Amino acid sequence: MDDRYTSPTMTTAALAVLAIAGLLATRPAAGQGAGLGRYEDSVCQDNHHAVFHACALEATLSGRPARTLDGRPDFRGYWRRRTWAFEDLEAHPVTPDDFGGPSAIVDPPDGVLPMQPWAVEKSRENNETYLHHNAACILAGPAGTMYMTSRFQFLQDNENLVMVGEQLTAHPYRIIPLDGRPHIGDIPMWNGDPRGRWDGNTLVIESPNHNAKYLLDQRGRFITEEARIVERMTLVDENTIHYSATFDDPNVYTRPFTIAFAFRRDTDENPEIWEEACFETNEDPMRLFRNNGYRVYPGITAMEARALKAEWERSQR
Amino acid sequence: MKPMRRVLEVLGCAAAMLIVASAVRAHHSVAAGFDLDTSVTVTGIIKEMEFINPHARMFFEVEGANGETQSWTAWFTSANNLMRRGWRANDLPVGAEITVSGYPARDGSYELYGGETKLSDGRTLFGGNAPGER
Repeated sequence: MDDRYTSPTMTTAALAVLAIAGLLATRPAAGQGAGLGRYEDSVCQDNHHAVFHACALEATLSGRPARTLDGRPDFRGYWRRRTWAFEDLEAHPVTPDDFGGPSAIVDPPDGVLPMQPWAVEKSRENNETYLHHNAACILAGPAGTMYMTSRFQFLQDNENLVMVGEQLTAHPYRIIPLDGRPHIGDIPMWNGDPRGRWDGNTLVIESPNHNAKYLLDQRGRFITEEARIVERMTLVDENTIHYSATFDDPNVYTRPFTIAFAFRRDTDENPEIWEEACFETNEDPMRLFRNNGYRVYPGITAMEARALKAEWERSQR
Repeated sequence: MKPMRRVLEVLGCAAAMLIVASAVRAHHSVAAGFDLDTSVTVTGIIKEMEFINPHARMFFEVEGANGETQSWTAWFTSANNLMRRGWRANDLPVGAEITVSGYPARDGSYELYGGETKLSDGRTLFGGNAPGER
């Protein structure tokens, strides 16, 4: 066990969850995409993230992805994310306020975030006090961008993977250098300081120097700026990307956790990413939010997290 | 100008226009500003439609219960989503009658987050959030 994680609360693997989920999950027909747009069929069903994750890990072992001229897996094209993790990383029902969905967490296998007890309380407080960053047109962090934004165009050459997004998080873009250059360093950035490297057919992205001033979901879950975030992207087939992100933050969690979900190629006619200037009307909604007592989430530093944890532990004695 | 007409239906709530803030569950931008436990339907005359992001909006005038003119704002999903659904500026001309159903503002202002939007020619467009677009 990683000794940086000092909280004793470790959940055990719940393999039965996966088995039951596999029985319940149904494979979406081509072109239906469970209400998320038009898609071709995939070798892995993607309406349950843990089932998809297990299938994708198998499928990519024998897969032969399309390649760019320099021989790397080719991620170019238009893509749609297949998760409502931005509402709640854990499983959540359909409500007037949520589209609902299964847990995006594939490790631990029970799909529950391994938060320290004080952090569970802090998340509740966040949810009652602060706006989720998307309401204020604020960027969502390196991994958060991938499950917040709905539509993407990926552009790629031998030096960069460029992700251009539309919808829900301030018209985001990410530029992932692939040529081995060092991190910029020192400047805290909303979406971090990304660098990509190839691990076989998988693109591995690390984005240090993120400022952690965003929430992980609309339930108030959070990380600190010391969190290490490792994203992995692998083509499962021509129209499906297996995406995962591992968060490692001993300040807040009892162990690292991993989320996973699919991106599916957008097969709408003439897909296109449009400008979505998130600021055009946002002052008026912000007035409504302020009238109702909400503030923009300010983030929490690692130092503040450690102080809150110590205070919580003193209160429990 | 056609006479303004106001229809107000509050579903699941006994007192019309007594908009009571629901228990806090406002983790979404929509829920933080609008009461998702209450529905309201308002008919009025379009003053202006703005196709802008992240939320398109329409200004329209509604005749109140005492004959006064109320200036309402209907918020919709993004202009991009509306355009992809087939909304066009010509469908919403200034002076046309419009009926919008949606969630009322939690602070009691004359604002709603619009869902079904009925045009004067009888067509109904959807202006809320749809799973395929978020």
